[in-house]
Amino acid sequence: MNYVKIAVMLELGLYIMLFVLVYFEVFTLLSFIESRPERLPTAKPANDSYFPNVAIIVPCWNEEKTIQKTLNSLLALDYPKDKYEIIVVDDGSTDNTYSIAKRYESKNVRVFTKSNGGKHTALNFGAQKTSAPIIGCLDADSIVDKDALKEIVKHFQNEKVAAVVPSIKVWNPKNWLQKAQQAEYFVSIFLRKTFSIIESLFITPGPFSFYRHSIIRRLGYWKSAYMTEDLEIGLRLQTHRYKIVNEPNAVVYTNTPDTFKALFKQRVRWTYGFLKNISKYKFMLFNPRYGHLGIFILPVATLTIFIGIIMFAMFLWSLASMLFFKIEKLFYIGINPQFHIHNIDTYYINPSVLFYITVFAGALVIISHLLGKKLTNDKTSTLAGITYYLTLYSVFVPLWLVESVKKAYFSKNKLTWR
Amino acid sequence: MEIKKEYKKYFWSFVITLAVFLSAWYINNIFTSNKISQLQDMYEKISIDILSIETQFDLLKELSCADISEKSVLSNELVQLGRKLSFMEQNVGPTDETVIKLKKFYSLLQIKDMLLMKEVSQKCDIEPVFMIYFYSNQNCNKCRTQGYILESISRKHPKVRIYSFDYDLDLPVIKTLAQIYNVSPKLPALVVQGKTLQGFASEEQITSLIPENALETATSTATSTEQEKE
Repeated sequence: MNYVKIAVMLELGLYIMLFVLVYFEVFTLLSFIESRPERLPTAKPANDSYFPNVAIIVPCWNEEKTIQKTLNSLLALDYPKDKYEIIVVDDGSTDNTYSIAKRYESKNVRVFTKSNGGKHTALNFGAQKTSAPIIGCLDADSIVDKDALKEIVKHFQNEKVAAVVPSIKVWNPKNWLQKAQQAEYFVSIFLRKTFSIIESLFITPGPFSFYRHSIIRRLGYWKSAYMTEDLEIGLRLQTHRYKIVNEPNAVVYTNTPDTFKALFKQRVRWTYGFLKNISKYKFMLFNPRYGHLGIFILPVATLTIFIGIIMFAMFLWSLASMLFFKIEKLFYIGINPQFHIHNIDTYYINPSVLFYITVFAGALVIISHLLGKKLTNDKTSTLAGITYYLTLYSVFVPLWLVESVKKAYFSKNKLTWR
Repeated sequence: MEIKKEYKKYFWSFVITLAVFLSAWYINNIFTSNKISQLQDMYEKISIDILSIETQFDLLKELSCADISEKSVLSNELVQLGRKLSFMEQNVGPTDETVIKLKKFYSLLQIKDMLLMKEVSQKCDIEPVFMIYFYSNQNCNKCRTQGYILESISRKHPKVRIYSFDYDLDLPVIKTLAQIYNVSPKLPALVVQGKTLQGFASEEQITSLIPENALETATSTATSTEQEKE
């Protein structure tokens, strides 16, 4: 029976995919547990006298609604006022972003405007306007914690450090979608710390990442990279084996999409960017020269995209089959409500091996989430969020994965800022 | 970083993940064996019940019809056993030896029940109402839908006995039964009140062959036993 053979192979494939996912979760948790923070060579305490000059570039495009909050939080940073400057670069906005930002112009806030060229051009423009030894960026819809800058800067005392990345949290989550993302961001905080431990950070996120200016200058600043220049520059730094470090105590809050449509677009952009950049940097895959990042992290990150799609296809298939059988049955015997509920025998509840493994994988996600909260001393209640995340949210993930892969293979269109 | 020490992580992650998978498989095995032994217990209980009725019958030729409870003839338990058996067959697979063995025992139990019912009805002068259903899990496209219809009939009219036999089961008595009623391998096949319906049969076709009084619905079976003894 050919169907039996196919079913067996599909089931085997499913188990292999689950194995990869659980393996990744176990690997990251092991890496985290193994290293105590004190062992990290770069975890020096904040030095009271180490305050190098810092320039923070704020690239923006049509962000009139959020730019004020962003700039206010930057001005409130706990860092010597004469030691940091803010460079706002308006990339040809068509709203009032420029005029609002202009009101902030002062000794340490400079505001520029230029014609639209993409985020990376705004960043490069801003970088040219400063000679500060440490430069960073901040998205115009994000808000920084007042200690964030000094927590980040302390790592640059180690000359080997080329870039430092913060913890990103969701700003003011309102609906279930944002709460699910909040839970997700805590998992990311945990993963970022773990990747930092195994020297495998490859994204220096737009919100509040900082770089050693001399190194960035040498590498040629930011490049146009499928709207994910933060990923591209991270990969570029890693190819030259520069040190990228995470500081979980540096917290930046970002606005997250509150509709599925906006979230979908954002994630398609991220995943598409990842796939395109990885194909450019494919020499890193399985390459021991790049340590854990090359051998394991990048391949698994790529693989999980395809695993997510295949598992979703299998889920849809079994859902469709089940519906088909139910409808067929109804067609033949009609709807008969007297099929009493008290007939349910617990005998018929038979969780499969798949079920137990999925539960375990979910438990590991919950643990990662809790560790992310602990790393940032966060006490907010995320019970609802993590529930939404594990249930409803994960059903949507494969949808944007499919779309990204499609785009990566077929379309030549440029993606927009948003 | 120390190469060896770092790469130990990969090994331990593999060991832990493997342990998780094996544990899941092991736990599932325990639950499945548990359910199968439940089936065996059910089978044993029913065989004892049937055997005791037969023995009573043999010992007391003058056994009054009132003494034979409805319970003994295709009791609800036998139906439950059948349902749970097919559930396990779906979960464990049709090639599991224990499941096959239980299916054979179950088929024999059904036949014994059928024979007993015939004797009882002869003695007590009641018209037996039963159906024999031959199906196959391999060569029968219409069997699934035929199964829905029969299940529906069985729930709507619990007085109608339906005995199901897997035609592919390696049990000569099933072939014998098929021969008796002139049933060919063109499945599904139903024998309703002695009449053979080859191939798919609709609910109307089937119920038209059943005598009126047996079509009483679930709620009235409680009183029917009293009426029958006259």
